[in-house]
Amino acid sequence: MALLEISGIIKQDRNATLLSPVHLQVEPSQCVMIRTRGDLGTLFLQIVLGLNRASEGEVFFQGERLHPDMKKWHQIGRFLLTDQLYSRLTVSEYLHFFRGLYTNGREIYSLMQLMGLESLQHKIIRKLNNSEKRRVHLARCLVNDPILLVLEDPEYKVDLETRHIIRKMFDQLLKEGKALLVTTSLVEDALAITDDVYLLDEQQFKKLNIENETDTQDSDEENVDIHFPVGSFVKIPAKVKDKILLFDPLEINYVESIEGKVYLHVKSDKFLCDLRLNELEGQLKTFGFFRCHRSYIVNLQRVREIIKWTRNSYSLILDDPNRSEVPLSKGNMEELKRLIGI
Amino acid sequence: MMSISWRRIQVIIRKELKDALRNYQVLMMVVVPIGMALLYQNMQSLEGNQLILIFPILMSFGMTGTIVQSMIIAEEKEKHTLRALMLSPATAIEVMIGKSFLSFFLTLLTIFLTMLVTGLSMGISLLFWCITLLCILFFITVGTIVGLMSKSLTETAYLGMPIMFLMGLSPIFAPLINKAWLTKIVSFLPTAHYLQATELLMKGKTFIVGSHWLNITIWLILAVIICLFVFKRNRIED
Repeated sequence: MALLEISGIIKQDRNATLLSPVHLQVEPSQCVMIRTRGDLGTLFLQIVLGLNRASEGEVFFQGERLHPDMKKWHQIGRFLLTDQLYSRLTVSEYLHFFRGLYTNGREIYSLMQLMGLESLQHKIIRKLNNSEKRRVHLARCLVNDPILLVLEDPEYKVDLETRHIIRKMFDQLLKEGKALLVTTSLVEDALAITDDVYLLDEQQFKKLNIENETDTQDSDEENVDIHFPVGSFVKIPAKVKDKILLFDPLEINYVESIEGKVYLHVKSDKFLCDLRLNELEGQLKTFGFFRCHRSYIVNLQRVREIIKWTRNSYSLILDDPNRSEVPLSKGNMEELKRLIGI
Repeated sequence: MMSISWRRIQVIIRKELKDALRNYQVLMMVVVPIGMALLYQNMQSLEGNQLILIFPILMSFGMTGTIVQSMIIAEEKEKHTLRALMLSPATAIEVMIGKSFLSFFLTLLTIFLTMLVTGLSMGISLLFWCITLLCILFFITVGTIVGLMSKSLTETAYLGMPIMFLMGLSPIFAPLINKAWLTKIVSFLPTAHYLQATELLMKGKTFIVGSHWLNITIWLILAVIICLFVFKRNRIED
């Protein structure tokens, strides 16, 4: 029995379908991330949390159908972006207040340490910045030590320090066997945290497939080396409507594969490319590109920062106008270090 | 229905108290009636007319009772903080008891302080405090209704202010206007009866158990019934 089971929920408003059927199971120690648009993510989480009614389908928590009067609510931690804090209390007063409502839960001081709040504990919440407030919200979700956390885009508009803390928190929770259901607006962020990434839009809900690109990697590499020796003429084609654009490899910041479609990120735009990721990897290797993740090839010349979120989660920050962030799998870290020479 | 936990209510009261002491809007509702009391105390021309000294008390019924109660409820609704609370074992009833307790305590404190300032003394203080407590309960229940019905802090002003003026202050102003129909309407209000009862007490008389107590009790019961009805309906909507 899954901890949380979402069984075919649909939301229709008059004749418009707002949410297509969602089937999803979340197990203990699993982090499921859903890439979606802001308002759709809100609607989806509201339905999961029983704040909004689905047109069809059910949500089960530990096999029990979710309903507003369910006793198990306090085993679920929840953060929605519309949540607000008691702005006149201090951080410590706020957390102790929520902790006091439960008989069991976490020790507040260690919780504040986990969320990087111990130096802010006597500050009035109104005087905190948005990133710090987000950490207070997330700490509040944890006071009763829930076994499932449902979070709406926790990294939305927060600083780098807070993102570090959030990922450390996720790591800690998963280690404790807790489950996470999190929405996000960036696939790159989601992939840096977990492999269980789903895409949700009005038409569909499906799992992001990141396995299929790795199978033939080795043989491809050899072939490609023969066909594209160093210094040969290489342009990467991309399609825009009925035109074909040709990019100089060095113009490309990174290449991303989502749902079997390959996108070239050039300046601040992205272009669909017909080549497969493995083919591109072979062609681009000689130009200083690196396969940093099953779904990503990055131009190492554009990498500005390597960020270590937790022991097994890394990201690369590029120096392009968007300061794009590309996930780096743990397995590829050694290879990258070797390439850069550190 | 989950049972009510006194421990959780204590936690809620403690939080409400910390919150209220830093909330300037709430503090204003305590300060204004006391300020009024100071003003009346220094008005030489009012000597002999002790009745006007009840005015600050009526004001704190409306301001510290009704307005504060509706503000602290509406603020939670406006900011969706009540939702985070509803996921916890704390029940809506416990939250309401916690908040009512705070408004009750603040109103009582304000009335006590205004009386200290004006030096108002009551013939039989036990009777005075009994009828005062009954009135505070009524005004806090009204505040709860206003708070539950408004979706934001600003809405409490639209709903709360007229009620405060009608219920709290009209017995003072109605005699000045002196229209028969107005006097008739006002004579049904609980504050009119409160005023009459305290007038009797100040003259050193006890008042007959009948009409004044009955009137205020009926108002209180009516308010509680409406409050429960509004509470049920708004909880489902939220």
